[in-house]
Amino acid sequence: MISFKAFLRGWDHFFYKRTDASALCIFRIMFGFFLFLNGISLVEDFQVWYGIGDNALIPLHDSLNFYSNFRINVYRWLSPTETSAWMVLIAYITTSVFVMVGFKTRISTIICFILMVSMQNRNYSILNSGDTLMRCMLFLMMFAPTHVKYSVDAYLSEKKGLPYRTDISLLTIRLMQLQFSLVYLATTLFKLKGYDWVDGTAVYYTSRLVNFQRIVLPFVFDFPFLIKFATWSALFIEFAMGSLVWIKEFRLPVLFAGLLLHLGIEVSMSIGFFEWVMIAAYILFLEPKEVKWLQQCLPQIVRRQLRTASSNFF
Amino acid sequence: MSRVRKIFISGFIILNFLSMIRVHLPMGNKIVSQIYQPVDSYLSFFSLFQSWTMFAPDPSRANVHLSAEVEFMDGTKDTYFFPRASTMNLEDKFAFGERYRVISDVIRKDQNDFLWIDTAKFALRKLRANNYHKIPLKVNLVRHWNEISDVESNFVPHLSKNTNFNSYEFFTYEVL
Repeated sequence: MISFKAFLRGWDHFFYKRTDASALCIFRIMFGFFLFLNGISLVEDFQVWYGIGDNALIPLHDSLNFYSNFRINVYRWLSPTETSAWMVLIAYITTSVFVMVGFKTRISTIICFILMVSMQNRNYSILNSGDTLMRCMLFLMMFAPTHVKYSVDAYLSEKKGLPYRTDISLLTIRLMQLQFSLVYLATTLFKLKGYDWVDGTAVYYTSRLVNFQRIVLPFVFDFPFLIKFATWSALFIEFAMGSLVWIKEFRLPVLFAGLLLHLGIEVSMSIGFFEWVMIAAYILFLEPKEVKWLQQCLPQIVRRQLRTASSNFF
Repeated sequence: MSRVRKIFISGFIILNFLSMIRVHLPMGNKIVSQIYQPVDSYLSFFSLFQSWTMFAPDPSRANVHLSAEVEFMDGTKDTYFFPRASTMNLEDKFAFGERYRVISDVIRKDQNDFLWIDTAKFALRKLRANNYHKIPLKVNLVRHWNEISDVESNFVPHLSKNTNFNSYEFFTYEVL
């Protein structure tokens, strides 16, 4: 049995222990970049998804009636004009850049969230898992001190002689980690309810869905035993990402396996920004010393690769 | 950190825990639903509902796309095919193919019949430029699909294209 005092101590340690902000701030940069790309990807078909005039698939007044719940939607308060519809997207893209570079970070994150949710509520029928993940992560990011490092805010503050404290409470990182784990755990449980994941054939069917297909992977999807291996590996890795990742000894191997899983899916299938946001969120599971190691090693590796590539080229 | 602030923040954590549990576990029980009423309002306001059922419990076994056939008063017909991710190049597929895949998947389902009139009108507008002098009578929304063969009985090689589709008119919008 655990005493209440010990429980509170554990709670305190889990949520309020202080840690270096590097991982969170690097995540902010990567996440901001994906928010930005997401905004840019909406420009081409903006009229179809969010337009006001004849080009819109779902007219604004209909969408407000379909989804008329008590929820954030700036379209309710704006005049129904093309200009205001465009302004929402432009403001979303602008604030996503602000999130990425860390300028007025907190308020930019809040505005970016409100605009993103409004656009998603404007047309709920085009949302994929990447949109859901970005919405949930951005919500938690509103409460996170993502501005204390690698940001314009931090630079300006330091210039004024008032540098931010870079050791932060683990609280928001923990909430993001929990959200992240829950995605994996939930999907594993749902998949275990079916037959195809259990009997090892699910990847056969997913790889034959033509709208998802991207690049030809030789062999992998053409042999039943490889299909079984891929199906069960995916299922086990997803389960591990939701559970074993919390155990110190398993954390790094599980993260590495998860990284391979997402890269494999990204190469072979097209599922929006889901895989990239998941990969970016992996950094939240790294210890400060591991983040530091990555920060030191990655630029060296990239520089070495670039040097080799340029010497080969010339 | 002050005790009051800590209690407030812990309350926030618990609320988020409850909401995460709420969206992931089926809770049909009336009493539980009553208890969760405030959490539901919170989730709804911030749009924090989430569902992680892609390819679950089983992946789809059908490749589906949509078209809309417009019949004109002079007896002619014209067809609008909704964009398909499968016919796009890599960049287009990455940038917006997924959105068209999702919306086709949403529209084809009977539970989303409230979208059908708008979809039919949209197709009609798309075809207007080529048929501006004609009077449209009706718009038929059509599902096209082919089943992925069973893995045991007929193993289909990866990336082999099945161009034979079944078709079914699932909605007719009378324009006049």
